[in-house]
Amino acid sequence: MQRNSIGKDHQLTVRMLITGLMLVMAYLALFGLLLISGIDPIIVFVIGIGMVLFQYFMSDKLVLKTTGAKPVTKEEQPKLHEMVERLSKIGGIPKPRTIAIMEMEAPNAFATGRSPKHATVAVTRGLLSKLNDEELEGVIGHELAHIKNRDVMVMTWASLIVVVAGFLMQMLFWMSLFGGFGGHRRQGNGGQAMAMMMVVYIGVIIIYFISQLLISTLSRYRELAADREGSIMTGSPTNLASALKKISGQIAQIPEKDLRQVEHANAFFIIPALQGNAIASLMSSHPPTEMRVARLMEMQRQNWHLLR
Amino acid sequence: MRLFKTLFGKSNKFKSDESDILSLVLRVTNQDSNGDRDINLSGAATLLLNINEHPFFTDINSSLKELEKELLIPTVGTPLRGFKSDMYNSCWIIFENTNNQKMVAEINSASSHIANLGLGNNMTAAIFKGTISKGTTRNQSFYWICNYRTSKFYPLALLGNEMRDNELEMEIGNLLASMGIPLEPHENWYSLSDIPI
Repeated sequence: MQRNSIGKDHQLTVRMLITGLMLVMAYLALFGLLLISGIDPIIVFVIGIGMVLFQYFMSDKLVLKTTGAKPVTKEEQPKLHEMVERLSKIGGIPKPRTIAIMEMEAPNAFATGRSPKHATVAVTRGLLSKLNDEELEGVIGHELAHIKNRDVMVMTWASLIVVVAGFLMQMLFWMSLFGGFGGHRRQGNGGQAMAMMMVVYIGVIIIYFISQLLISTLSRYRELAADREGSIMTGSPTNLASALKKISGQIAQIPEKDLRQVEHANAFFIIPALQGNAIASLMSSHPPTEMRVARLMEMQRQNWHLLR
Repeated sequence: MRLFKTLFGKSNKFKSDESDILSLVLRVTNQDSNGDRDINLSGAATLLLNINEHPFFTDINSSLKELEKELLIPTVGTPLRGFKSDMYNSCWIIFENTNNQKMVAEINSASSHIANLGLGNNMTAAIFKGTISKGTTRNQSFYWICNYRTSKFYPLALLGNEMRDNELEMEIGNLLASMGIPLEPHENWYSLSDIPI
C-alpha cells in the first residue's frame, strides 16, 4: 500500500485528469456536430470502435511485424529474461509473454500488448550493446511500467476520437465532392444546408487537431508516469536517467543507413529533413529528455526510491 | 564553357585543389604519437565510385573501361589491386601501398584522372584502412572515410554482423577533431558494407 502512495505524483495525476476532461469535451463537441449535421453518431462511433478494436487486439502482432522484432527464448537471452522476470515480480505484474529483439543499432525499446498477460517487451540489439546492466534495467523498468499502467489500452481508447474525426473528415470531404453538401435538396434549403455542412466540416477538422494535441499531451504524461513507476521498480531513478542520456546522446545520431543508399536518395533532396521545432515538440509523444532526466534526478534526490 | 560542362554533365564536384584534403590523413599519421593513442594507416585504401548516378549523355561503362585500362597501366603510377562492383551498383578502386605518402598521392592522381574523364560527380568517398592503439588495446582496425561531397572525414568501426562500434567511432572522431581534421557531423556518419580492403 505504501509503495502505491509513493508512486503517485499528484500534479501529474491532476494534469492527466484535465487532459482527459478536455478529451471528453472534444468527444461531446464531435457528437454535437454529428447531431447538427444529421449524420448518425452511433453508426460513426460503431465504425470507429471497430477500427480501434482491430488495432487493440492486433497491436502486439502488428508492432512485431512492422518493427521486425524477433522473440527470443530464455536460452538465447538468459540475462534479459531474468531481468524482465525479476522486475515484473517487483512491479506485481505477470512476466510479459514475449521478449523480443530488433536487429537495429539505434538504442531503443518498446512495450505493447492489450493487457499485462498479452504483453511484449522488445529491445534493439543496439540497446543491449550500448547500455550497461543498470541502465538496461532502468529501460526495462520503464517499459514494464507502461504494461502495468495499461498504456496501450489507455492510448488506444483515447485515440478513438482521432480515428473517428479522421474518418469523418474523409467522409465529409468525399460528400462535398460528390454530394455537393446537400446541393441536391430543394432550392430554398440547399444553401443553408451547405453552409451547415461546411461548419460541421471545419468543426470536425478543428476537433481532429485539438484531439491530436491532447493525445500527444496525454502520451507525454504517461511517459513521465512510466519513468516514475519504472524507477520505483528498479529502485534507482539514476539508472534510467543515465540510459536516457546515452540513448539521446551523440551516439544516437549516428545513422544506420549505407552511404551508397543515401547517395542515391539525396540526389533529389535539397532541403534537409526538418528538425525539432515548437510544433514538433507539441505533437511529440515523448517529453524532452532533459525534462525526463531532471525529474528522475529530483526523484533520486528525494530518496523516494529507498522507500520501496 | 562551365555552363556547357554543367549542361552536359561534365562538371566535377571534385576539384584538383580539393585533393589536398586527403593529405590531412598524413598529418595525423605522421605524428609519432598522438598522446596515449596512436592512429596509423594499414597500407590499403579504396575509392568508391557511384555509377548509378551519372550524367545523361555519358556512356558510363565505356568511361569506366577506359579508366580501368588506363589506371592499370603502370605509367599512371597506380599499383591497383583491382576494380570491384557491388550490390549498390557502385565500383571500388583499390590501392595498396605501405608508403602512406605515396598511397595518398596515387589516390589523388587517380581522382584527378577520374575527374578528367567526366566522372568527378560519381566519386563518393575515399576510404582508408586504419588502426588505433590505445592503452593495452593494440591495433584495433577502423575505416577512415573522406566524403567527397562534403570534403569531411568520419570514422567507421565495424564489429562484424553488420554492427558498428559507435563508442570507438566517437573516440576516434574526437581524436581526429582535436587534431584539426574537418569532421562530418554525427548524423552523416553513414555506414558502408562490404568494403573490399
